[in-house]
Amino acid sequence: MSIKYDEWIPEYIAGQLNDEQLAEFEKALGKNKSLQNELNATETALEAYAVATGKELNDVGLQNRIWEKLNANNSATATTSMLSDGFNDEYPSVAQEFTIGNFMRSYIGIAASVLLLMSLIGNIYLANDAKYQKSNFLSTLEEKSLLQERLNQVSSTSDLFAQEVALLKSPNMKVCKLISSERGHNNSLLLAIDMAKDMQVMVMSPDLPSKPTGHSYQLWAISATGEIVCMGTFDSEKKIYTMKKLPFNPKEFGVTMEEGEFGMPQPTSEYLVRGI
Amino acid sequence: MPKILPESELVALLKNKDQKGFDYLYENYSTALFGIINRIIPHEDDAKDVLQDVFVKIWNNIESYSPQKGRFFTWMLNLARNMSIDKLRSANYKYHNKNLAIDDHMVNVFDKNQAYTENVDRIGLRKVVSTLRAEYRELIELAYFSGFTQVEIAEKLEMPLGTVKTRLRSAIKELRIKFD
Repeated sequence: MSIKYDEWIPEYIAGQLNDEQLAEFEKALGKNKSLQNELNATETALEAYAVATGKELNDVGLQNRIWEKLNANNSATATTSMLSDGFNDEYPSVAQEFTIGNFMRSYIGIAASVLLLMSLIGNIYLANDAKYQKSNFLSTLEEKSLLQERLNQVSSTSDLFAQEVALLKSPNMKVCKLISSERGHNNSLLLAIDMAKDMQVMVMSPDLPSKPTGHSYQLWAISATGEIVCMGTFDSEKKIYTMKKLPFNPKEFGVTMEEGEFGMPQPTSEYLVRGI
Repeated sequence: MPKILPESELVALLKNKDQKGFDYLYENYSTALFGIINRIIPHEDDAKDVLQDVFVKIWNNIESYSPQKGRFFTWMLNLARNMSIDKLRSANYKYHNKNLAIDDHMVNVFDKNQAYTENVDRIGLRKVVSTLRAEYRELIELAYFSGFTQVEIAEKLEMPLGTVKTRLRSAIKELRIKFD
């Protein structure tokens, strides 16, 4: 067995091979009995591990509830299938059989055609009823979709909050608060630095004075030797901004308001907030 | 471990939408699947909801399982893990659990494993698992049950990617020896 494929087994089981690798691995798997055995032995061991570390379900009725759900699911599929069959297949085939030629051929033909006509009327009635039910069904789906959309909109605010909390609670994050350097000003923002991602900096919850059109806030990192490096610009409309990665361990951070969307090479105004 | 009904027969029953297939599936695999889901979704009622969805998905998508590509349990494990992660990331779930971060869930993995309700059938297997080195167990949990990629594991455990790959292979090798 190729060593390469042997090494791919863990990622294959975890579903983490890319499309190209997956196709190559599955091709090899189809031909190579030894690879199949290796994979099977690994999967069996993991299955045993999963069973050993499984968790008891203390819910006597759950099995029945799931079975009912599966049955309900099957019934819903059957109903949808019936509705579409009624419109697309059965109705046109009946209409094609009802022709003037059949009617004129003989009395038997007439009788047959009358029966056919009655059947057709019945079908039209049933089809209309089904059409009504189908349109109601679709309308319910549309309403559900609209409700879901509205719920998602409401959730988005709490999503941002949850995202912020998650970032702040991560053990890899170092967080500092920048506050106004002037008395009487309550401006502030949080900086989160992801130590696991080469000191990626994020600006969170900026509470800064309003800025004129055509200006932006600019974040600066100040080194112990006085070097000042731009970490990026932002406005104050969003809750979280991803900035640049820190090039050094800074002595301090500061935020200024600068002209233009992309800021200035060096600060040209007083720091609105600063800190470390 | 479920061994009485061969996988091929179970899959055939499920393809025929036979209740016997569902009953066997539930009775023999629900504990393992619930364990996988509950690692990621710590709230039991939410985890049960996901378990129901997993069974529905298995039932409806059984035709897409191919025995040539691996064991049936691995297919179910991936479904359960991915659906749990989807649930964890879904807007509605976050809305109701806004103070929970993914990292919190992952920290719980190891604590919760210590507190499983004992089941006579699984005591032997659990003893085997308990003899597995802690670092190997952590790698297996992260790679197969918590949905971490090897790159993410390397970042989380602060070790080179090559080391993660080597240790994960060693972990699997040891696991196989122990269950052999």
